Amino acid sequence: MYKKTYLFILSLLVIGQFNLKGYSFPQLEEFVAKHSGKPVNCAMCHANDAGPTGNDLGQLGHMTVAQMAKVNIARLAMQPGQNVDSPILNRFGNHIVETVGMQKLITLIAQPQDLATALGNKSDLDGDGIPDSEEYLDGTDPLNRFNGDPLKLFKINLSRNLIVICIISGALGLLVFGLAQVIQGFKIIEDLEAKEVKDKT
Amino acid sequence: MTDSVKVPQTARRHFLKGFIGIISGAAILSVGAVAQVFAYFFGSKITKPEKVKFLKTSIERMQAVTSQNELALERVENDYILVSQYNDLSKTSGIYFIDYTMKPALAFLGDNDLPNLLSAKCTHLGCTVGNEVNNGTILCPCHISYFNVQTGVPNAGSPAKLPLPKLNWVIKDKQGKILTTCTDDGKITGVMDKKLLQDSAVYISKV
Amino acid sequence: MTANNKVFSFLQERFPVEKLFIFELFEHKVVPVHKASWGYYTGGLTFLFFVIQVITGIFLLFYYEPTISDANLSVENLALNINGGFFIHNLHTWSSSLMILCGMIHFLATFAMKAFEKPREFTWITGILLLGVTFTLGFTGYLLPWNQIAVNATKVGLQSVQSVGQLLPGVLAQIPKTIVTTFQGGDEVGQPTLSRFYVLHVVFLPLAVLLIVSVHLLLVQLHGISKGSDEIPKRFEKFFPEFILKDFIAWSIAFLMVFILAVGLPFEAFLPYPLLEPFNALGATPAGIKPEWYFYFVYYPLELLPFPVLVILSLIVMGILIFTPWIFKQTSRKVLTYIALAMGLYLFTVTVFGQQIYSMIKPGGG
Repeated sequence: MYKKTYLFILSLLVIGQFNLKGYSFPQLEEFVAKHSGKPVNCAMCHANDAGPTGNDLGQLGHMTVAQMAKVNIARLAMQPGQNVDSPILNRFGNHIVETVGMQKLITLIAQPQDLATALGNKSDLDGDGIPDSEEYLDGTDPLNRFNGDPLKLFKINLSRNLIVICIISGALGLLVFGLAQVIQGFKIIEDLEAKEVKDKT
Repeated sequence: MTDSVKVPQTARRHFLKGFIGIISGAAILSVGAVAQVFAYFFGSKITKPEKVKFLKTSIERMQAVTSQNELALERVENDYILVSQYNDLSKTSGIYFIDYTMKPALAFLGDNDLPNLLSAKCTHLGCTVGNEVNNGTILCPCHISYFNVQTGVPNAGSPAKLPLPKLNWVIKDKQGKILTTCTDDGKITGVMDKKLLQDSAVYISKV
Repeated sequence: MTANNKVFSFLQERFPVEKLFIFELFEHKVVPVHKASWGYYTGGLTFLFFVIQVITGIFLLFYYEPTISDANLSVENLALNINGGFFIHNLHTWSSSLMILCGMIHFLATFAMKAFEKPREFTWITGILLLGVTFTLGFTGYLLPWNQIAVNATKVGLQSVQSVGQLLPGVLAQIPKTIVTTFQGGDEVGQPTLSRFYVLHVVFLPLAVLLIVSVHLLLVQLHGISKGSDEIPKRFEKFFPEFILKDFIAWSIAFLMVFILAVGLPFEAFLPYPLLEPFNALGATPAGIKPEWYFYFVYYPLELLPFPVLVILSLIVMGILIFTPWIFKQTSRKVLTYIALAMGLYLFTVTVFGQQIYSMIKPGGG
């Protein structure tokens, strides 16, 4: 298996060096779009939202020699735990390669749903409280802390800001209590006035 | 009201409680608001890597705008604008470029192996159509109009009713000599043999 | 003279506000109490959200940069690097939606209560104008973050207006295009559009709201609160202090709600992330471009109905709205309530289930 994968990567590298064509994994993107029901694009893992192929910023045609070397290091990171910083990938893309390793990543093309399990639920790159693996399945941006499943974000943010919410609720509660008391005070006077008018007539 | 009727004790008690409630509630809110305002203006805690990232992104975005302005200038100054090398044209994936009116356009290789240039601005509501060809059509994702990539004509029943306008083009060799021309009405003159066009480039022309 | 009275008379001499006739009106103004009295609070709530909009909007101005190169980044910087920046921005966004929601409910409630009845015709017309200006505030504000959905939705909106020209004869056909080009500042949505929308959003439209709302509120004070019911109300409460204090209570509760939303739920969490990327002038429009939810009631019909039908329908509806006080002069409040309920049902259904309905009718669309 290892040998096969290695040969596959090597062949990608050889071809890639000549025509600068990117080898992304659109199967993962297709799975996420289908699973989450949301439109997604290559920007979930890649530096450029159109993927690695092309001449724009974050694409292979835009790479310097030094950057290309970094791309190739990532391509050869077969085992998990290797430090990669591929400029065609974003932080999440690099994190996938680091956590899973290229060897396993290639096998996951056939079972894209298993990538979430392989990533585990400890990493949360944007710090929004939703693990990256869940964001992958939800089709939300793992690098944008304001983008995530609305209900999950709401629950997390409520618990994070519970003290502030309690203080504001308390302050507004006092305000409402005060206003209600003033209304009652005025009502008593009004009733009294009405009674006096009635007595006079 | 208070002049004519003596305020009873019960009402006074309500007013006092109300006063305390309103003042304390408003005080807490005011302290919170002042702290928030202070933090908003003076409390920015941007770290060095964040600042580096921010400045780099800012420069990239400014460069993108500069590029757009350069494109506009190029279109004002020049009679021909390079679209693509002839060899890079594909029948399945279009190359985006900007036409003389600064609107997006797409360049494909036509069925006749000559360039096929179309406006990419959807004739329905102006979205930019996609560049991937599926079943001979390109899709505008906004309101789902499929356009025939060869003719630019939308499919029956699509929201777009008008075809994507075709753009004129010329093919020049490495020395800048015009080999082939295509006018707006689709009239092609000059070299048409694919082999002879291998090292040439495709341009749009102002005229 | 007690100490309290001394203080009171001191202030009264320095600030003789009783000379203002408006206070005279306040003193005698009463609010009918009936089962639809809740409708009287909706206008005040709309105003509360407008006030929040103005305050948060001023704060946003300190960091927002209205250029196509920096607009998106300045919003991102505000949310990520400025203390409380995300909260202020999110509060502004939520509050804009709630302002429009309350405005729509206020519109339906006043319609059902026949608050446009003689002599309140101009109160109604100024209200309709306010609703229109509020929608325009939403439309112009939507462009400012300069991301994919902002620019593309604006393009679609402006192009829709321009398309009306196709239905007009002769020289009239050019009018929509001229209007759009003027607002756009050119043939395409670009820097001039952003500058113009920015000025409209932060200067002209808020001033227009202030001006119209002043006339609207003055008319409400001059005419008093409409009775709102076909039956004679059994009870009235004083506008000052009873109703106004209750209004403050409603404001406090509404503020708490919008505060919790602004702290807990990023408004943009409802959008797919490709639509939040900075606008790319050289790429394809991403899938899923839609206007803000409060335009769905016109957006989905635009998708489903032939354009000329929609234009004619829109003109009829606008005409009816303006001339409502005369068209529904003889209609009972019961019938008006049914009409308002039907309108409410339409707005709710299209807003909440519009996408599902659209997908059923046009599979694979949008």
